[in-house]
Amino acid sequence: MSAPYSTHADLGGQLGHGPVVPEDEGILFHEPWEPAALALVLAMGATGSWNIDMSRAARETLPAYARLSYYQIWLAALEKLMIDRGQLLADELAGGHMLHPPVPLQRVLQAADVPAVLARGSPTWRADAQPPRFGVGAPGR
Amino acid sequence: MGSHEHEHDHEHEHSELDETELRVRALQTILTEKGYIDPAALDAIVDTYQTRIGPRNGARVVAKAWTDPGFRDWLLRDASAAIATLGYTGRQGEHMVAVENTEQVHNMVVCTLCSCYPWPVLGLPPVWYKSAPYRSRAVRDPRGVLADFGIALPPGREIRVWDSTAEVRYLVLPQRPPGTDGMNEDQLATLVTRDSMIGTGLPRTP
Repeated sequence: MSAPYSTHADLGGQLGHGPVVPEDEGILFHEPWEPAALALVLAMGATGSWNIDMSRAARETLPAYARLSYYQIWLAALEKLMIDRGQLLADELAGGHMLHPPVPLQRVLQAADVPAVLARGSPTWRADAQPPRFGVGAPGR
Repeated sequence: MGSHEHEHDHEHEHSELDETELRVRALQTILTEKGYIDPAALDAIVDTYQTRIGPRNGARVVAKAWTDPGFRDWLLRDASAAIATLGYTGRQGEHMVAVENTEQVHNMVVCTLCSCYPWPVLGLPPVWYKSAPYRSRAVRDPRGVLADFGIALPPGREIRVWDSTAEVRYLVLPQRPPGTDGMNEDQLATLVTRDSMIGTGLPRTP
């Protein structure tokens, strides 16, 4: 029997988080490692190892969600996703180097393909297999 | 709380961030050694969002909608297709909906569950958009949030808050400011602020 799914991210309507602090349009990053964190997550996201819903689930179930910064959440979730798939092992993270052979990936994002891959994205429309039984606004029965 | 504790908090925060820096470097090293990533791709990704994909894209969409009624109608009917003609497609913006501000309605966009945002037209989301104060309060007290941005709308105006999903992203089409009749698209685009396309700001006036 699996544990019930519990998200830390359902913040809509919660009280007590204080004021919103606006920021200039030109500011993208707040720590020197954030650009690399963004790039690592996007590059691994392009390998076909998981989809956006899996990555969101990995993030929002992190026990430390409430106290981590945005890109710290991304990093911790990336580690979780990779460790779950045997793509990365804890001793490697601790040591900072590869210790175990790589796991085959569906694909690796090459620099030349970055513009096209980013421009293509991952559309989620699926063609209907058959016409819907109920049109928009029609009563169910 | 003495100054010693204050220093300790700063040191603690600093060492935690330094630890994150080390983890990022470790990940980058390991993933490169494993052949999972092309390091040049990392540079290309960062460069893309630092220089080529940002809110100036959305500003061009808005400026075109302000000057071309056919494009405006198309944008409101099928934003994905209309925006695609300007080349702003792809990741985190595959399915777009444009919502129009009027004298009766002001629109605001949030992602309460994470940070879903229309990247191809607005670039990377600002830190406040991704943070608990905005995500929690936008759906509960949008006028209070607007006050944090220095915006006070007329009391009778309806505020519609759109909660984005992983699939559908929203772009606010702000009202064209008065006194802009003679301006061309490029000039109009300079009036369109990033915040006005999220709904937490208004366009500049000339």
